[in-house]
Amino acid sequence: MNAQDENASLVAPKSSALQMLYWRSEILQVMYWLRGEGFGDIVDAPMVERFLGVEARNGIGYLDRLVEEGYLTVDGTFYALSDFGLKQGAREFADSFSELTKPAHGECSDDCWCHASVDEADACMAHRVEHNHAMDLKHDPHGHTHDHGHGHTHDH
Amino acid sequence: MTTNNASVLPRRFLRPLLFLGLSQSDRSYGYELAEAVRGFGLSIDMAGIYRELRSMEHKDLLSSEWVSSDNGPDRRVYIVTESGREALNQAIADLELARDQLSAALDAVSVNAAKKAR
Repeated sequence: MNAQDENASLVAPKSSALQMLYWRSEILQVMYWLRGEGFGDIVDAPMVERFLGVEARNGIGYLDRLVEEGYLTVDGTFYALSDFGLKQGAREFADSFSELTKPAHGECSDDCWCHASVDEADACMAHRVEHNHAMDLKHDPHGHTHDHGHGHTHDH
Repeated sequence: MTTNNASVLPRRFLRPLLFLGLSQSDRSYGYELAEAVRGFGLSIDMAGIYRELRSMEHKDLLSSEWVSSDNGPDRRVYIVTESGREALNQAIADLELARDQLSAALDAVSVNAAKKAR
């Protein structure tokens, strides 16, 4: 992935609960987008990787979950919007999930998820510990200034 | 050497060129923007366009909404935000600077070539 691709990548939340919500919204939005632009509404995991930057091996899991939830149907390695998925409509996802899945603002940078939920805060803490930010925490046990390991630093 | 005019620009020009495409209309669709970018000389697939538009939206440079159509599916329409307009002006300034620098470099090459030819 070159620098341009990296800049264009979406920044997903780290907690599993928000991740599923996030990717559900993003996958459905890209499928509605493709449909609206006249490219049909069938995707596979490599397409999800190219459009959303989520690795194909992970993308399959999210696509299968959407099949379980009734939003998509699957035929071999290809996934299509189901009648239920179509009925939900792009507008519902744009309205219902955009605020939930949008990074929190305020003092944070625009790609920070820390304030989105308790789960995400916990996941961020685990991420910091995992990435040897013990010194940051030692100096500031409340985590008031830290780097989440994805290229930005902010205050809580 | 053959030159493909449709892919002469590097990908780092994608965002400035998208801004140029967006500046041509108050509201733009993804496919229109892809066509505009290709028309400006950058070959890019729809996935690249989509990801860049989403990135710009997350940075509040763009906003988007879904609009209904009488004879087709809903489409996502993109609108430049206030901060996007500042970025658009900067993108134009950057492109002008790049053009001037390249022009100066090419002029210098031409002068040197003319000197050698004498």
